Amino acid sequence: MALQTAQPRSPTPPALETRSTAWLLWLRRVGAGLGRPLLALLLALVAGVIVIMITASGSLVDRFNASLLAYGYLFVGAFGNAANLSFSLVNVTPLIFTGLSVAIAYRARLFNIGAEGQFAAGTILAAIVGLKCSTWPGWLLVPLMIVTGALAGAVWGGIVGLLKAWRGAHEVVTTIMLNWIIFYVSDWLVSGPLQAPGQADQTLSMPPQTHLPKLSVLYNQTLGHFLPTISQPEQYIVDISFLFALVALVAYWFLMTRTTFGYETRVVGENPRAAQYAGISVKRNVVLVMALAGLFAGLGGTLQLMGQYPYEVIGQVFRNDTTGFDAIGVALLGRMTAIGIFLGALLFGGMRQGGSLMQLKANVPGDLVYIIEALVLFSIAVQFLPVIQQTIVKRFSAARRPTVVAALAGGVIDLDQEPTNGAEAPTMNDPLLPGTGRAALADGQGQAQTPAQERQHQQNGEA
Amino acid sequence: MHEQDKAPLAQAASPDLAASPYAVEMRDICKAWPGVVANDHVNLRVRRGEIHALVGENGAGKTTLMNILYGLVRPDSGEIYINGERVHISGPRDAIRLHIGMVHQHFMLIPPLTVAENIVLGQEPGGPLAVYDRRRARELVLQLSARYGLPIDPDTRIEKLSVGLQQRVEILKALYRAADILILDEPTGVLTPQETYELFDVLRALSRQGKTVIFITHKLREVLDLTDRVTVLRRGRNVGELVTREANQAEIARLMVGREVLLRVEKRPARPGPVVLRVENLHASSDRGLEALQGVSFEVHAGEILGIAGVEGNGQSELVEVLSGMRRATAGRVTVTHASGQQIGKTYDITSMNAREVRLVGVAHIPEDRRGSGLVLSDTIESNTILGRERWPRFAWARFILRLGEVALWARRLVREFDVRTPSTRLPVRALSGGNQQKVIVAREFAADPQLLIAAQPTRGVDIGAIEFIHRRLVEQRDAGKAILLVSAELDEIRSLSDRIAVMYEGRIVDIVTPEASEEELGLLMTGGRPSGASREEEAQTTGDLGA
Repeated sequence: MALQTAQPRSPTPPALETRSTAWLLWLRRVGAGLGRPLLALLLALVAGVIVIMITASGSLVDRFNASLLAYGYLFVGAFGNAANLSFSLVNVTPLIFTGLSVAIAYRARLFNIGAEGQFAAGTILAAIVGLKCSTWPGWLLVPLMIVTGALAGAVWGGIVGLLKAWRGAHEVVTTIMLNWIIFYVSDWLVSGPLQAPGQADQTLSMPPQTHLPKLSVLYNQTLGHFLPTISQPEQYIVDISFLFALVALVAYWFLMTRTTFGYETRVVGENPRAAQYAGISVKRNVVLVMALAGLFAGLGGTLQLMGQYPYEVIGQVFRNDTTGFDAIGVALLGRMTAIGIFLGALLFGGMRQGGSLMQLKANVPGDLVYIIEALVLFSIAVQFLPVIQQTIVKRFSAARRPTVVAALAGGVIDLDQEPTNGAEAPTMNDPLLPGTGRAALADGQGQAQTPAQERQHQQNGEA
Repeated sequence: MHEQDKAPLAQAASPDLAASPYAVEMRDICKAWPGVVANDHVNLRVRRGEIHALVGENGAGKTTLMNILYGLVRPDSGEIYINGERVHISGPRDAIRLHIGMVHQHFMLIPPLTVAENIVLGQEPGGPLAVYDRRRARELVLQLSARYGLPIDPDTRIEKLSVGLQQRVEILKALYRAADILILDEPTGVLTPQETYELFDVLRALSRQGKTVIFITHKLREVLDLTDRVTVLRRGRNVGELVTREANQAEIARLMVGREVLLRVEKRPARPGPVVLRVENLHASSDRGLEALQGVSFEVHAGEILGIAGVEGNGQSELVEVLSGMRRATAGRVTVTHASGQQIGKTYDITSMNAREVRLVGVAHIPEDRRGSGLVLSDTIESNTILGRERWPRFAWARFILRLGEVALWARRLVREFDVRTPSTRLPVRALSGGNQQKVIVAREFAADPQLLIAAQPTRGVDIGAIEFIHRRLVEQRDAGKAILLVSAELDEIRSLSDRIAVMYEGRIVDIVTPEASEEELGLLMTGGRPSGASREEEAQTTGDLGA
């Protein structure tokens, strides 16, 4: 008995904690990884409801129903049936590539605002190759276009890296500049040397042997021999570049977590001094990372050109395209992880697709989608979620600490009783928390970190 | 002696508060973090006007206790009395109102602002329309500095000040907020010996003026030199409350660590082998373009520890950086010769190698700034144990694909062998205490089986148990035939570990002496003098001048 009362007072030896601590850590990481983006999405959706309720007509209930209906159609439009899903995936594919481009740069703490430019560079160079060598056989031309497009993107990104490494030029400035350079160059090409005869500002269509097959068609030709075939495969327009995107995600994951390159990039990004100490060349890594970022974006552009109607480059398309910029949101939302980028791209791409059905059926402007997207990004960028979280934690821990309540009340009211049963006694006596068990206590202590620690943890998590 | 002097003064300063002899009394303070009990029914009683040391190893709960007193952390239970009155401190604001001031280990100053601006920050003297009154602020600061004998130029920007003076600003900041109780969290960790002496004078003066000082430290010499009484914590619990002049170093150390501690390093005489590191006429520039190294030459043999002593900023940092491949030499030559292993007898010219290549040649490096360059704090312990060696075949296939399983095993081995206290090797290094962070670095560098080990400030900011541990390991490595270059600002450390001592002054090695050289002799060399004609009086004079 005496032993038992003494038990809570002795600090638990760390060795016994190992298993549970590791598990808790993991849980916490998953929670932090998933929790915040989900919360951001939830907040954005709630804000969206308010916007719809303001614009809709009728009673409050009507307005509320209208907003739910809109969300319903938004979801159905995005993922409701196979055809819609395939349309969504067409949007998702380039978002994954450009999202990876942003994320890979961010691993070295570089802000790649130039994914769109690298995307454009890939597209336009691949188009040049496709048009100039249009008589070449597909087995040669397809890989050639893909490689050219990827390399063009890599060069376009690599320039940024070089400027950063050797001249110290800030990547945000140079990427934006390079974006506009490639936009204008491609506009000139499309309305000049590459312009299709007798047409407005657009190129000829890519030679048919370079068109990537639809995913459904490919399925019918391969697995379809053994499994049920898809009827009318042509209506499912997503092409095999989606598979490339999935491969790219895996490659990114592998590169970042399983290779010395990923390791060194992390060191360069987190602590350049440590990189110098370790003999990791910061300059070399910055150039490599930016080239790789450009490669992913360029690949995305090329595959979209080859995979989707109209298989051609149209004038002024890039400056109006937001893929490369939405990618920043995708990467942020996905917290730079492969799985996160996939989910983020799915969300953004899906909403783009679902928006039209929502507009059609629920009579809510499709622009609502942009509002939600913006709100998601806003709540992540502003980081007010951590603040809310902290406030909640503070409230909780305040409620569980009688001394503090007394202090807030102003006077010196002694709510404390003499701790009779070791360290846990005060909480057991806490009038605000009757009958809660030890689990709750442990939980409370888990959350009751100092604000400084909490912040630190968040910064950590943000990385 | 101190106590008798001060007692009447303290009473004179606050006769109505004489009811309790204690300025601060903390009773039964408990605070638990997940998995760790930081404070377990801790009691602390500090008499008015005394300098009270709070000692313990890293992680003993000293800082937590003081953060509770300053309102940064809320205790799970316990009571705090200030001048005999029960108080509730729910934030630093409350603490300041109770005349408690805290000087943190890492300064809370704004570098581009002036001294005066930093001191009054948050409680600026305002003119009409709440306009900041620059002149009045200046005056206030000057008054304050005259009153407490802490001379400082109020118009200098913080970034231009030495660390010692920055600390003085922090103290003035607390005094400006009318602090009667000053908490100093490991204030000497960042100071040179001279600055430390100055700080002690300041603190003694403050205590004579009736201020109460709580001094957190784990350096026992400081405890004995400065303080009146000591409270010792170990693993979150009280293990002793002593009157300093009745205590001795060994006793306090035993209380802190919980066992007998070897304060002196036990080592056999060195058996130097062949030369491993040869530095010839080395020149290098500092970050500011000044010539930091002006023709440094020396040799380190296998099986010996060469200590580099010197006041900080005399080229030691640059020397270490050049030797470890982090900085380019402008002239001179550095070679490393293997004294053991497969490549025995082979000599490498490392003068223009980068850090990775230098490491490959068999040089290990414990950097002086562990948080700044030795670790990636946000990364896991596992990752940090391969920093700089991530491409070695042992950890990566084809220098590219990490062998994560191998890395995990490696990390677990290091953590076990070097007694890094952590529940998991997957924790970010940030979560470890300072001593344990240092152990991660030491483990990583020792375990690579180097020919030459460069240890720069290997025990800075590390607790006594870890210091003992690191010292023992250094001597072990020496006896195993490694060449060790030790750079430290702690003269005691240099003297007890080194087999030879090279003294650096203004980018040159002024002399190489034996560890039997007296402290005065070394001190004089460190300040550029020659020991031959110097007497004790002159030495005292020099120190006095520096102190003024």
